Amino acid sequence: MRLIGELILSHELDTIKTTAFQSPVYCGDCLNISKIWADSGISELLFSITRYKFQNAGYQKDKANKDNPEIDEYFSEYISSLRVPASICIKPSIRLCDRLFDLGFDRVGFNYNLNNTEKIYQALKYISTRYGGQATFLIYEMKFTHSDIENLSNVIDTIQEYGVGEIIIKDVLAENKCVNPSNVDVISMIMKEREIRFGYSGGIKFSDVCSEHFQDFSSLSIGGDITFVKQNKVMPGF
Amino acid sequence: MSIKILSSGWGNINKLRTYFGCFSNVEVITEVALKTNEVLILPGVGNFEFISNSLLENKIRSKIDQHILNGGRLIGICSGFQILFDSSDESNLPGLGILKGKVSKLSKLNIGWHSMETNGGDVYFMNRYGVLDTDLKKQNDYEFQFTNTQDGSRILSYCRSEKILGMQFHPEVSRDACERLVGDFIK
Repeated sequence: MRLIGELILSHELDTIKTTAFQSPVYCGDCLNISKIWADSGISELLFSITRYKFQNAGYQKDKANKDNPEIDEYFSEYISSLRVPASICIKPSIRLCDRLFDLGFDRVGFNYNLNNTEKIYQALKYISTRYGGQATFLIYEMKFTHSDIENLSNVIDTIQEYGVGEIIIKDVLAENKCVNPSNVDVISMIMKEREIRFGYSGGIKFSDVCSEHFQDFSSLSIGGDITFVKQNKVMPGF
Repeated sequence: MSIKILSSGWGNINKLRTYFGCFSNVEVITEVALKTNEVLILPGVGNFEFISNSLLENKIRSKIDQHILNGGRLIGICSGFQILFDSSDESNLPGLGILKGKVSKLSKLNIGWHSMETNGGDVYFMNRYGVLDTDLKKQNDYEFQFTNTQDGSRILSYCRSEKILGMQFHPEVSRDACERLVGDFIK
C-alpha cells in the first residue's frame, strides 16, 4: 500500500491546512514542504489545487473561479527532478493536462463535482486514451449519505469503462479528526469485485497505516502540513 | 554518444530529459534519424493504441526498425517498453514486434514500489497492463527478470540484450535502484 503525502494548495499555490475542508491557514511554501515530504520516505506526493484565494488577510473560497492557476511555470524546474512520483489534482482542462505530463507529473486527476461531471469525464477519458488509465485518478469527497453511496457506484461504473486506475475516497467528516471505521467498511463493501483501485483519505493517524481495516486499499493519503512526518517519521519504503 | 528521447504526443518528456541528462547528452526529437552510437528512448506514460497509431501516422515505425537493424540501441520505458511487443489487450493495433509476446490486462492497476529481485532496491511501477510470464516468448539473446504484482501475477519487470533495454518500471522515478542497470546499458 502506498502512503501519499497530500499538499492542499491555494490558488496562489501556498500550502494550506483545512479543518473538515474549511478555515484554511497557511502552512508554508509548497516546494519546501514537498521536499521534506519527498525525503521522509513517502511513496508519492499529491498536489491538490483548491479554490481558496488569499483575500482580505485570509483565504476565501472563490466559487466563481473556474480557472487553474499558472501551475506549469511554478513547477517547471522542480517536478522533473523529484525522487518520488508526483500527482496533481486540478480543475479539468485538457490543454493543462498535456502540459503537466510534459513537465513531469506522473498522474493528473480531478475532484469529482456533481456540477461539472461532463467536463471531468471528458478529461478522464482524454488522459486514459493518450497517457493510459494508470496516469489518472478521481478524488471523491463523501459524507456517506445514501445518495452519496449510490452516486459513487454510478461514478465508478463510468470511470472503470474509461480505464481509470484509481479512485480516492475522502471522508469529509473525518478530516482532522479520526478514521471512522464504519465508513471504511462501507467503502470496503463497494470495493468488492471492482476493477478500480481504491485509495482513502480522512483522519489518518500513523497507527492507522498498518491497520487491517485498510489492507485492501491501494493508498492512504495524509496531508496538511509536515507535522505528521516530523512526529512520526514515515516508514521508509512504504 | 548521445541519448535521443522520442516526443510524439505521449510521455513525461521533461522528467526523462532530467534523468537521462545524468548519463549523457540528451536531445528530445520528433523524428527518428539516428546514428548507430545514439540511444533512442521510447518514453512511458502512454496508451498502447495511441502510441501504435502515432508511430504509424508519423512514419516512425520503419525508422525504429532501421535504427535497430543498423546496430543502434533502444530503451523502452513502461508503455514505451510494452509497444516493443507483438500485441496488447489494450488495443487492436499491433506493437513493433521487436520482442515476442503479448501484453495482457492485469486484474487491477499495479502501482507502487516493488523490490527489484536482482539487487533488492525498490523500483516504481504504474501499469494497468503487463507481460505475464506465460505470455512471453523467450529469446536467446535476452536476459529477462520478473516481479510479482500486488495481486500476485508474475510480470516481466525488465529485459535486456546488447541493443535493447526494456523496463516496465519507471527508472526516472526509481533512480538509485536501477542506476547500474541503465548506466551499464548506456555505456
